[in-house]
Order: sequence, then C-alpha cells, then structure tokens
Amino acid sequence: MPAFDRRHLLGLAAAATAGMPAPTEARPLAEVLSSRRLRAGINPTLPPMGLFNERNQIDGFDADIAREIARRMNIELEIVQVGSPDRIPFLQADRIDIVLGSITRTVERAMVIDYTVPLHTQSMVVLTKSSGTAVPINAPADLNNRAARVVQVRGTVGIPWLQANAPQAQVTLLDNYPDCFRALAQGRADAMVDVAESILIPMRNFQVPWKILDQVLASFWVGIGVQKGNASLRDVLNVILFEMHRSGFVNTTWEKYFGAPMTTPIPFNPMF
Amino acid sequence: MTLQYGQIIQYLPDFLIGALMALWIAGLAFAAGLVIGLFCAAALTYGAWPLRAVVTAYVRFFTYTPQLVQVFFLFFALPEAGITLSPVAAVLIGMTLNAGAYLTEIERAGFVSVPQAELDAAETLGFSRLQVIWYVIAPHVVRALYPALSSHYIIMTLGTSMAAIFGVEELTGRALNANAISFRSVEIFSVVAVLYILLTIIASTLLWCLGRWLFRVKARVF
Repeated sequence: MPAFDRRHLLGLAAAATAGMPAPTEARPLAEVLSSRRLRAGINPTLPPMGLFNERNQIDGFDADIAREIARRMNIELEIVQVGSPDRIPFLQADRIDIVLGSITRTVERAMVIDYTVPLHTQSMVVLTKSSGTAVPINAPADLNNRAARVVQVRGTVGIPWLQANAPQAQVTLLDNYPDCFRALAQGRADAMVDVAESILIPMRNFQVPWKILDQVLASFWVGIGVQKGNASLRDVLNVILFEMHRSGFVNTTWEKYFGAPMTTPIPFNPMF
Repeated sequence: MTLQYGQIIQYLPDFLIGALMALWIAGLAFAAGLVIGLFCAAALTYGAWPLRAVVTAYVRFFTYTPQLVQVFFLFFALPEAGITLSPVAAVLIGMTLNAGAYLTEIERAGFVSVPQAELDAAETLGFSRLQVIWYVIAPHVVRALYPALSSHYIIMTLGTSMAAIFGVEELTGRALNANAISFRSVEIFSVVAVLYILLTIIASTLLWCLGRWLFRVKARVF
C-alpha cells in the first residue's frame, strides 16, 4: 500500500462531514411561475402510482395528478425520474419542485420536508399465499411465529408494525418490490406487510396463489412533498389539491388505475 | 434547511454493527478466495492442460461478469433449481468465487516471479510440492503482491455494500433503512462515508498484521 499521511485521512474525513455542499434553497412560487415550469419528481417503479407506459414515458396516477396541478397553475410540467433513496436529495438539491410517489406522512419525514394536505390514503394489509407457506397465515397474529418468514421493502411502514406486533417473525429486508415478490414466489418467504396500494398491481406479474388478509392493520396519509420551508408553493398546492378532491378528479383518476375507490376514503375538509 | 446530525445519532450503534458485518464478510470471502487463488494459480502453473482449461474457464467466467450479477444469480436463479441460499450464504459464496478468480490472476503473477534458484534449492532440500508452495512460493507471493492483495481486500470490503440488495444488513443496508425512515440523506450518507474510511483503515491494518505474522512482510499501513 502506498505510504500516505494521516493528515490526508483527517482531511478526507473532515471533507466528508463538514464540507458537504450546503442544501440549495428551493424555488418559491414566484420563481416557479416565472420559469413557467413545474418540475415534478416521480418514481416510475411504483405501478400504478408511477410507471413507464408503452412509449417508455413516465405515466401513472402520480403523473396524471402532476399534469393536472400544472394545468391548474397554467404552467408546463416537467417530469423528473426519481428513485426511492434519491428522491429527497433531488428535492433538497433543488432539482425538483415537488415530489410524489407514495410518500407516507411520518413525523421523522415532516422534520425534513413539508407535506401538502393528503393526496391519497394507504391501507396496510398482510400479503401471503394460499398454499406453500411454512406456517398457515390466516390472521395477522399468525405472523408472530419463529417459523414465519416475512420479506419487506426497506424503510416501509410494515417494519415498525412487525417489530411491535410480530417480534418473533424472521424479517428479511430487500431493496424493491419485484425482489420481494420474487422471494415470495420462490418460497423464500411466506408473507409481506405493506400498504395494499403498493402491491395490488405489481404482484400480478408473478404467478403465485396470492392471498390478502381482510384486516386493515393501519391507514396512512400520503401528501406531496416540497422542500422544507417552501410555504409559498405548498399553500397553492393545498388549495389545488382541495379543488381536485372537490371536483372528483383525484377519485376518478384513482379508480382509473385501481379499478376501485380508495380503501380508506379522504374526508372532505376545507380547513388546512 | 440545515443539517441535523443530532437526529441521526440514534442510528450510530446500528451502523457500527453493520460496519463489523462488512468487515467479516469481506475478511471471510477474501481468506477463502486467497486459498482458492493459491490452488488455481498452482494449477495454472504446474497443472496438466485439462486442469488448466477448467481453471481458465472459471477465472474467465468470474472476471468477465459483474459480481452483482453473480450474486443475483446465486440468490434469485438457484431457487428455481431447488437450491435456496440464505442472503448471507449467497453473498459469501458469490464474493468468495469472485475473489478466487481475481486472486488467481494476482497470485499467478507471483508464482511466475519466484526465482528459479529458490525452487531449485527447495527441490535439493527434498521439499514436497505442497511444502514448496507454502514455504517458498506463498511467502514470495504475499511479499511481492502485498500491494495488489491489499488493495483487492479493500475493494472487497467496500464491495460488501452490494450485499444490501440481497437483504444482508451490513452498513449500506442499514444506511438505506435509516434513510427511508428519516429522509436525512446527507447526514446519514456522510456519516456512512466516514465509517467506510475507518473500515478501510481497519481492513488494511488487519491485512498488515496478517502479512507481518505469517510471512514477515514489511509494509506500511499509513
């Protein structure tokens, strides 16, 4: 190994921590309007929220919502492709103005980004198979068993639920939904706890006797994310979302992609 | 917004466990890869042609395809054939086979560079082939190739981050979990970067100790 000085190392460590580029200020409403362009970050690997259509363009529920928002603001929409781990850095680096993609509202996240009023809800359920599981899983409580193998996407809301309600289950965390479905299909796992909205459509790509337990374990609210402190943009988005709920646009678009209304409806609320 | 390192201190113990996992996964795969490499390099140097052909095919296959694809195959394709490996097993086997192929190439260079005079001397003293490899060639290989082996070990230590994709909770996996929960990407990944730097130092120190104790290599870590 080449001889190298300890001081270089300290310098490197210091650069890695202290010298990080300062987060860039978000564009307030006035700048978005004068550029005549709203940049929306959409994750195309979450069908039907975000997906690639047959022309390989980003489409889906979130894209329809973003297009409608831009139309109501009378500006153009620019869709920017984002992934799960990089979507928040995209927002903080001011590469996008808003971010969509099933961003469940939590306290930890609300300290980092600002949320609009809810766009849609999510209902957490247990996905399992009607045959071929290590132990029979007919109720959520059946997961609390040393023999129950559960697979989860990293950072999803099912993980804290499992820690609290099924601490005995063996949990494997994978990177994305296709890997989790494949693990279930190959018999590597017996169940998955996640929001129905994230699994209903993509699970159809796998030939498995899927079974979803009836119990809804919890409901979550999903808003649109803006950079922390960008109140001028968020306030307008709140009014637009209220109008989109009132006109029925959100529910119509939802049913276009899911074929059914939201499991947990959004209460009509003009106060926000 | 400002960076809030206070909000991620709670994840530090978890990250440290992940760093230790990265270290032992890389260490185990590297040690096993070294042995595979030693035998394969011996086979390439002294073996008959069918053996050489098999070893060459193995080395080509594993150096011409990405490690990620190899582990992906072990983890997701083998179950179709009825072999289901656990996440850690798939990563360890994949990294070992991959390391074995690269280390074969590195160690073969060491074999070729052993002076003929030393081999003749060993033969005169009546060493068996295994004794020649352990007492004459291995120390030479390790000493001559210390920089190459050392950097391969460090590449492997950093390469363990790939294991996160297969559900192994090493440092990167734990960082991705914390990131998904807290959204504090800059804070988390800058801390993780520093931990990887520390890991690299620990990894090269370990290798230095090993080289020093086993073969009296005089090399510096810093």
